[in-house]
Amino acid sequence: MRTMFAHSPAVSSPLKTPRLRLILALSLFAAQVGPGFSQTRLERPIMMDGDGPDLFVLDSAGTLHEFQVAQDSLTENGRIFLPSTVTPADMTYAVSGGQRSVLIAGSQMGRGLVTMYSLDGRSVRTWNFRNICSGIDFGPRSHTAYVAMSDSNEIYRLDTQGTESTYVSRIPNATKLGPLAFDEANQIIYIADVAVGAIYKYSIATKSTTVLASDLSAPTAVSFDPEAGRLYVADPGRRGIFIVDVRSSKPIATGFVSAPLRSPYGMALLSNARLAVADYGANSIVIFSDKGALLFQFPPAN
Amino acid sequence: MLPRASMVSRFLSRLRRGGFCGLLLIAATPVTLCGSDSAGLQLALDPVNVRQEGVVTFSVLFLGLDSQSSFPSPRFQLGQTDDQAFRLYVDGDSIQQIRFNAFTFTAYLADPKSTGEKIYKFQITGNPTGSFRDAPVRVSFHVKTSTANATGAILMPVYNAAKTDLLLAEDQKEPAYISVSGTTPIQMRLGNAPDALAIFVTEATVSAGCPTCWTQISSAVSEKKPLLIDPGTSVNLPIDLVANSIPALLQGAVLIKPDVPHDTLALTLVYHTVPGGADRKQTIPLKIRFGPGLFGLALALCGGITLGLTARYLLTDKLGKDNERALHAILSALVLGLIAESVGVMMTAYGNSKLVLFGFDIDPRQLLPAFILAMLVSGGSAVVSYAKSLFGKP
Repeated sequence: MRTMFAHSPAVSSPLKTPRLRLILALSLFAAQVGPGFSQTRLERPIMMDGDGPDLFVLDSAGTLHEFQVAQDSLTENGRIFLPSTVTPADMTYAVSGGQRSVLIAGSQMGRGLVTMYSLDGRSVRTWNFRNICSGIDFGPRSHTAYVAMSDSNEIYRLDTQGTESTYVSRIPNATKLGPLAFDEANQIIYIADVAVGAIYKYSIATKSTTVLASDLSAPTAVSFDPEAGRLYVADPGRRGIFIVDVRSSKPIATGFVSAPLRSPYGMALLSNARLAVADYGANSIVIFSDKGALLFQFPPAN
Repeated sequence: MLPRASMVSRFLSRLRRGGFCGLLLIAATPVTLCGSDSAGLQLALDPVNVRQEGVVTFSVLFLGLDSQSSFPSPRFQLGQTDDQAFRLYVDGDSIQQIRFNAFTFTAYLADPKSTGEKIYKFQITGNPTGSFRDAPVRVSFHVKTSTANATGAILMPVYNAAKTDLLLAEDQKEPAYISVSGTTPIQMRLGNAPDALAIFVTEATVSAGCPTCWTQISSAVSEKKPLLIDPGTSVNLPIDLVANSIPALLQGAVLIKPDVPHDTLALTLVYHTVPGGADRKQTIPLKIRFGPGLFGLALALCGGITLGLTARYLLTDKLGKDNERALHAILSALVLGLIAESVGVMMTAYGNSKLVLFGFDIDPRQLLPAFILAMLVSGGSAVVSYAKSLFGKP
């Protein structure tokens, strides 16, 4: 029994009759496992990733929420409870071998790990590392994921159809690698340094690293839009989302949206040229157009 | 501490980075460091060693000149350079503990000597390593202008998500006794380490091993009414428990050893350090033994005495000794039963003694043991001998 003190009617009022208990139990069951339920409790969204109409959001309680994104609303379709022993750092949605899954990178007992969860909450596969895993992103064509290590500044490649992990590179002069975005077409990894507020561009082909942008405070999420050649960067330090035109000869981070964001922790690209932002400080998910216009938010503002 | 050379190299690298930013990112900030308006002013914070348990390094991003003129305490922490030329204000309300174990906050550098007192706004990101707990520390900072290099210090909080479980919970020496009737308030002692940041407990949730044994568990702690634990102090977290009588009694009946809990509650506390700490969770086990309450215990005693006297009568055809009147025998059994139960409860609850019956270590505060104890005392030697022949030596 997991009981919320003083907030849940199930425990704050004594249950007097068996009938009342039955009604209450059934209503609680429906509220927790039924599809499309409206009373979703989102406990401060931290990270997110999506696939067109689907958006996966991990909150601070370790609950992974699956949302369906409509034109002007989000509807929760299900949720997965992650083991409390895992400290998640980043996540990516993946489709590998026809199976839809979510890869969670993080740490457990001081060691890094990446776990693939099926959408029904089963742990399908785990990759273990000596160092703490931070950012992760998935390439659907090659079925590979790239994961960064925050304490060794290394990048590893994961074969999501197998169990192998391969050392790719170490980003020189980096302080603490955080989120990464994989440009699969050009075989480039964009990776943020959370400690110094920089974005590095790593070319897999040439094995070279350059600084793409460095006027950020604490970039905690990056998303790459291959069609627009844009890298979106969430920076809670500067309380906004920034974009970097990676095709530019002199790329700079320019403001994309700021208000009404308080602590943009996570970010994901959605279908119809939309961007979802996990606002930890406001405990909400905010959806923007690619022009930066606020479309709607979840839970809806009163 | 990190080697001095490393600090200097880091400081210089920041200066280089400032120049790089200025060249590359003119559009990103309203005012760049290399602009004539800022006259090349640079702010850098030294890495700080936190109680030999870890290090925090800082990166500083200049956001531009600001018009803010008031920096009221306690929201703003004040630090000053040794020559009193610059004042550094850390905005406590801006502190955020962010993903990937880092924290960030806004700081303002006031230059009172400049014309019209310029205020420089910076965003500072802290990068902790090691295992220290969130704490206030003294951080050295440097302000470099084209003409001078001033050093100062500021007391400010630093954070570390790698350090888990900031709450100090006392180990339970024995299970807490919860009456199966009515509400039983218990106090959980929670402490905070000295020289740390204050802690706000904002939520308490519980998982019960025996879900049917409870009808209500409540605590007054909430986000609106948090429990404050100052550094170096301990406070009581009050929890009200209401057991579900019959399932709780049944749960207690099968576990008669006094040191074995009837249920173990997993109390999960959500808390954060203040100012600025991120929410953390800590789960504390709470061992519970159900007790029948005074009324239940009295009923068990009466039942045991009745059964003991009945058994004695059936075995010996007498209620008491030879020539003892029935009323005297009943009253004697009642008094002796009460004395035995009281002594048993006192010994097990407040002493280190055990009550062993037929080789079983029993708890006289439970229904069944109280019933058996009363039955044996009131039944006298005849019932004891009979029981001994059934179960062994008492």
